[in-house]
Amino acid sequence: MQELINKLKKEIIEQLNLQDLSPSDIDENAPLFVEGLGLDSIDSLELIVLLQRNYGLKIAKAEEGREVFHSIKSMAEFIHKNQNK
Amino acid sequence: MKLKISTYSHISPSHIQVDGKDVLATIPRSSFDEDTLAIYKSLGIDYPKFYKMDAPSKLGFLASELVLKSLDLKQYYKSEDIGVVLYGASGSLDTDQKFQATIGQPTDFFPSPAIFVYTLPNIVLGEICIRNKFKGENYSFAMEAPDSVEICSFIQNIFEQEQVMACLCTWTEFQNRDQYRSIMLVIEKEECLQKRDMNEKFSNFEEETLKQIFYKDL
Repeated sequence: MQELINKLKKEIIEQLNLQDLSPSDIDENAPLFVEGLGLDSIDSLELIVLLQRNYGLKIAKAEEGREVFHSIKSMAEFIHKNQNK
Repeated sequence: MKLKISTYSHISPSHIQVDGKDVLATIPRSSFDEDTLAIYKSLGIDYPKFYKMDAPSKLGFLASELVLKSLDLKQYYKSEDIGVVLYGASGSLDTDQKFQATIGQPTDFFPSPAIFVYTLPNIVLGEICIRNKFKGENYSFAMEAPDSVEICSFIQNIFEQEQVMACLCTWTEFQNRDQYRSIMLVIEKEECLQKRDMNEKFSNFEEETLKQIFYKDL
């Protein structure tokens, strides 16, 4: 799981152009939106694209998205749970 | 009505200037991405949204930061009275092509929302207005090359119609990472500058001055 979390951190930094951050700066338990990384609505769309492109996963419902994109850890858990289904 | 250029900046592969003088000379010019990041850091800007901007927006944004760093227009004018007028030739073409690349292959079809939001030629205006909370009129024009006559006439007109009390007027043109240029002028009424008891001699906002600024070093 930790390997996946580290990989996700790198992908998110690259995808969202968070050039001032390195993976070690990101707390995997911190909220991705508003607090924590302070991501916005466009970033959330980019994260949906990242999940589809890199992991072949789709978010079926908006409510599910709220849970999945709460933090990097919750994203990793979602990937871990669904990728090999 | 007499208009003056209170300050102007110029960013290109060979220049980083304010009022015709080189600034940030310590920045080793290497590539567009490295140069713009170095300018951003040298100016001490803390605005993480910068990293997400497309190339034309970064260019125009930094040119505006160069002139507004030492001139707080909102100290003298209401936000609603400060306008921005953008001129350029290529608009958002570079970003349009980047977006197209994300949707060009049926087997690799992942349209990027972050790129898509920049596929508008006037987006740089929005970035400057959001950053500075300018709420006045803004206009965006495409023309092949800076037309001093047209630009002078239009700007003069919006001042005379009292659409603006001060405005940023920019030629921001991004063709690719080797060919780009942003010239950012701050235009104010002479009477407003006199009220501020400014001692500097400002250039008149007129065709000849614009030609000299726009076509210098070309």
